[in-house]
Amino acid sequence: MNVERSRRYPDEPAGPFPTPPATHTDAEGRDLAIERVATDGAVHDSLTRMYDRFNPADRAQGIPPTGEAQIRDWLDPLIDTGVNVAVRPLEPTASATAGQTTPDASTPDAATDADRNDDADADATSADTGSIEYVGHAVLVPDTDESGALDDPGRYEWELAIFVLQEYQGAGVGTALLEHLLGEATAVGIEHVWLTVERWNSPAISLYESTGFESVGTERFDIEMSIQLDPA
Amino acid sequence: MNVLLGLGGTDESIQALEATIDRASAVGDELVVAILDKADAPRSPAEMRSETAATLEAAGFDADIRELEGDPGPALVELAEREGFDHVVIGGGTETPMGKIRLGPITEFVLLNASMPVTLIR
Repeated sequence: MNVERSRRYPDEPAGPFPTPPATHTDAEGRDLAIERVATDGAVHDSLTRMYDRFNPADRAQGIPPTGEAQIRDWLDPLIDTGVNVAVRPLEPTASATAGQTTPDASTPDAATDADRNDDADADATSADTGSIEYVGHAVLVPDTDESGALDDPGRYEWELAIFVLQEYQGAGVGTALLEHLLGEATAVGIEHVWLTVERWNSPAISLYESTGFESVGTERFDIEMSIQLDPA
Repeated sequence: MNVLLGLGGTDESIQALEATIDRASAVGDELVVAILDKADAPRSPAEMRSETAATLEAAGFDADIRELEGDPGPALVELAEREGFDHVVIGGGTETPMGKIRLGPITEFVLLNASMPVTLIR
């Protein structure tokens, strides 16, 4: 199958990458679960809550949108049509006590497009200790409006985005999440992944480069990067 | 004010035209619409010119329409400077499948190089 691509990809495929589910201990000793997300209501709710905690000043290229309704409108199609991997503390209450924000978002692992969490406050501490509290989310969406892209994933180019809450940045969480998303992508048969990142977001660019992405377009405000995955 | 609107032939251009007509009508601006020669646009300059004329007529608003040749960003800025426009308006910004906004090279050139205020409509 020879499909015309709309952008350039590295000649050498990257991988292998680890696949979810997995547990990961971050640089601060927090035990985390990295898992595929289901398309049920509780997951939508948890990811909506996570994005609602982002500081509007840390959005990138307009996402995530602000306001719960706008977040749902943006997020629901991503969850329903994309490949989604998310990370949560193994002990749900641990995330709530990690309220002190990490001031250095500039270390390489600070990754991610956006995400501070100045208002990680009481409502992060869900009274319902059984609820899922995601602290990071990575997603791939196909460049088509047609449904069923996952039936033939190799045909399409998949756009990547990753977000990690501030208090989990700088501890390797973004790297682990990104690698597991690419592992999941490889497992389902995705071969071509791309993203855009703002030129000045060097922590994110470093993360993507260290994972195997290469810059393929630099003629805009944003840089376009891509990676080719080794078919499983 | 004398307002110069640059249109590249995309769907965003039509939105920008309508918004600019509304604004100019409301505040009494004089408007010149420049049709840019954007190579990969879905509408040719000729199509864009006739669509612009029809939109202006439907709105009951009078504006000059000019076609600019050459590299769109520099051509628009050059016209704005040479004729002393007070304000430049451009449409721009596309969304990726993820919903990320991207601004293209014409937008960037105009924002960085025009000496007068620039409005970006997206």
